[in-house]
Amino acid sequence: MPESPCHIPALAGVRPGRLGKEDGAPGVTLRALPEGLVVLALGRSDRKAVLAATVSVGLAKCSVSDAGFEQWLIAGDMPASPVVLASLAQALAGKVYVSDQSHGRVRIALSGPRSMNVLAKGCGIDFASFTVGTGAMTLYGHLGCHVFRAEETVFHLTVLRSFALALWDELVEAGREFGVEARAL
Amino acid sequence: MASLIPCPHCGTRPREEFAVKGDAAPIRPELDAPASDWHEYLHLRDNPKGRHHEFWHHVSGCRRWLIVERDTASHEIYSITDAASAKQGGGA
Repeated sequence: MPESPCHIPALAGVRPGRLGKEDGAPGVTLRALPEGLVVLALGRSDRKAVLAATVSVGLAKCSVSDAGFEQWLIAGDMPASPVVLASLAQALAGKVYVSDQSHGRVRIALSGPRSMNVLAKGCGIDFASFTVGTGAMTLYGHLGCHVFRAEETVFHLTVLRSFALALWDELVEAGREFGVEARAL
Repeated sequence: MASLIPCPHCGTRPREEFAVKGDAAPIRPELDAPASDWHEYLHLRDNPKGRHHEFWHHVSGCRRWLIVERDTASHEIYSITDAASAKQGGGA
């Protein structure tokens, strides 16, 4: 019998809808982001150079953020085609290595007026100095994840694929007192 | 244990993000060093009270090895550097 593998998103099974506090506008919105492009770049460079290379290969819609010492996370909704990945590697060649994490990591968007309260329940980062565009590797509870501040009240959390559902559930629990609007893929 | 570690790469982070390895003072012997040197390096460790240098790994952050100068009694941190950069002669 021929094998016919099909891709099932890690967060395909989450229950959408309103959770926790039922009255008023939801304090936070959880959204499973498309399983698009996630690339880790490592090397002696800086964020500006990595961003410039990313833009030069047509990935201007990708976010490029710090992910530790001499490491950057490039992430976006577009599919991670082999052609795009090869051109990105080519643009950074010589200084920076790229590691395709598209099938290994999953992104969750946490937004809403109480999003920072929900983050603060699990993270030890000082969010007062965590400006828009900043990224960092950290823990949410016991789960290692990358946090990126996309907009004033929009955060993208990138987590190892097998931990995606656990992080989702933890965020739902943390957000219940504010009211959670969950949106599946 | 100190509860907040000022990582030179990531800023101040809670110690849950770190793993502590121990004394940073002993120097690893050469591979062909006599067994007595290895015995001393591996097994004969001091447990000092007060100020000393320790290896810490920022496991859930930048994943870099750090050398933390810390007081084991008061938990005060005096200095912190990147272990690899320090070995290469540079700062944190």
